[in-house]
Amino acid sequence: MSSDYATAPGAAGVRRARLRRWLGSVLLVLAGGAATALHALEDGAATRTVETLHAALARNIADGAALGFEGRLARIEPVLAEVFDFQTIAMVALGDAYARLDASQQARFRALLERQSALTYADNFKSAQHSPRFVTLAEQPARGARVVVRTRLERDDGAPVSLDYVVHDTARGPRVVNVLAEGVSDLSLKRAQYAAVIRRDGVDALLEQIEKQVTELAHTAAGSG
Amino acid sequence: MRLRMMWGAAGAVLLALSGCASTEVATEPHDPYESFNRNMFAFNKALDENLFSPIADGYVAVTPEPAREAVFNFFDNLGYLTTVVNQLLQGKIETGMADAGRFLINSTFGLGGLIDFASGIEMPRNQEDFDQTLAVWGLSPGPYLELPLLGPNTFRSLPGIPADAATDLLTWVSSPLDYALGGVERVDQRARLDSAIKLRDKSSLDPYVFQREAYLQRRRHLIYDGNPPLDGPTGTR
Repeated sequence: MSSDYATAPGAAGVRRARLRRWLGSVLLVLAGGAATALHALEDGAATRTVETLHAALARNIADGAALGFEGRLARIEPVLAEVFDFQTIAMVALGDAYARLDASQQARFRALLERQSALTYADNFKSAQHSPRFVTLAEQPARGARVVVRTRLERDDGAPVSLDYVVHDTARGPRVVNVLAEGVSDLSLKRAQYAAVIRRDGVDALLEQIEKQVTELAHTAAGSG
Repeated sequence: MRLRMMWGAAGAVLLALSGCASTEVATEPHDPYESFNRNMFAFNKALDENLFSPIADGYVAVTPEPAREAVFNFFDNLGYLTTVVNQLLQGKIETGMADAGRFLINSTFGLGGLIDFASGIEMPRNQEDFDQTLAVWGLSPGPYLELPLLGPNTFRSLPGIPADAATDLLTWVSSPLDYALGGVERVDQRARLDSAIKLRDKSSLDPYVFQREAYLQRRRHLIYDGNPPLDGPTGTR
């Protein structure tokens, strides 16, 4: 199914610029992947990685009230570091702007992404009301030796939510690079927003805005218990 | 009346856009009217914050959850022929007939649609519309478009506005009951979107881009019946 969106004048130039950015991102990912030796994952390895995350979230849900926000955060942070490939996520989220950052800025950006993820998971998965539970459905091969692990979040009070995890192999084992909830890619949302902010305000302003957002999220999440 | 209003809104927007094309600076190829769309998004957001959100909050406050569930089931069932018709138009005959059965079961055993009886007997709810049918028939979405009141759309989805209204049984209810029921339906829909809207506003650095991308990806997910091919090496556009 084609996806040719451009119809307005100047679209050809925009398409070329977009293709250059996309190719730049692919090269960055491949470079990172070459350094970590992309191999085909053995059957079930990607699923075990995702189920490690789900098990940790299920424990946070079960003990949510007793742990409080800080307790849930302390529990989930090391699991996220083990499950997600934040290096690749950072590179894809910023596209070719990532290569223009110096080493300290890249480290700061990666740390912000990790912190933001941990705060979000600690805040959103905290209550056993309506018995939320994760169900693993299938593994599907994807391009470039990656695997999509199809899962579902079920609750008693509503329709299930599909959660798909894109997993690839790294030197440290299978790692998640993207999560799609009902088909909406978290990494795509970040990438599109960051590109818009960079175009408007520059990359330094983007880092400051993310830092402010993370601070506000930490404050709000801590207040909600 | 709903059909005429929807055509009127879409027509007015297209007239406005025809004056914008030559001055727009496209930043994303799938959003060449971004400047116009951002203005419409700001308008819709302000209207929602000042009018629709308070009404929806009031509705939730005074209406118990089982009653809200019944309201959703009732209107979902009235509109379910849209799903049935579009399943058949897409050549999904078996699923279309199953969905026709779902509609009949909920209309009868489900007490006029108030109870989603069919889901309890493993007849799951599907969601099809004319935009998805046009996609299956091979039409590209075209530029993204934020419409006043109607929200996110694409050029391809515009014909679906009157087409889906024509297959919604509520459209054929005679006035003035049409307006009253339509109002209740809109309030219930807004109440159900509340957590998604809060997530958008809390999590995003650019709520307009967040909504645009989430809408386009969600539509793609529906078109491929929950199994779209991945974009790029990590599933990103």
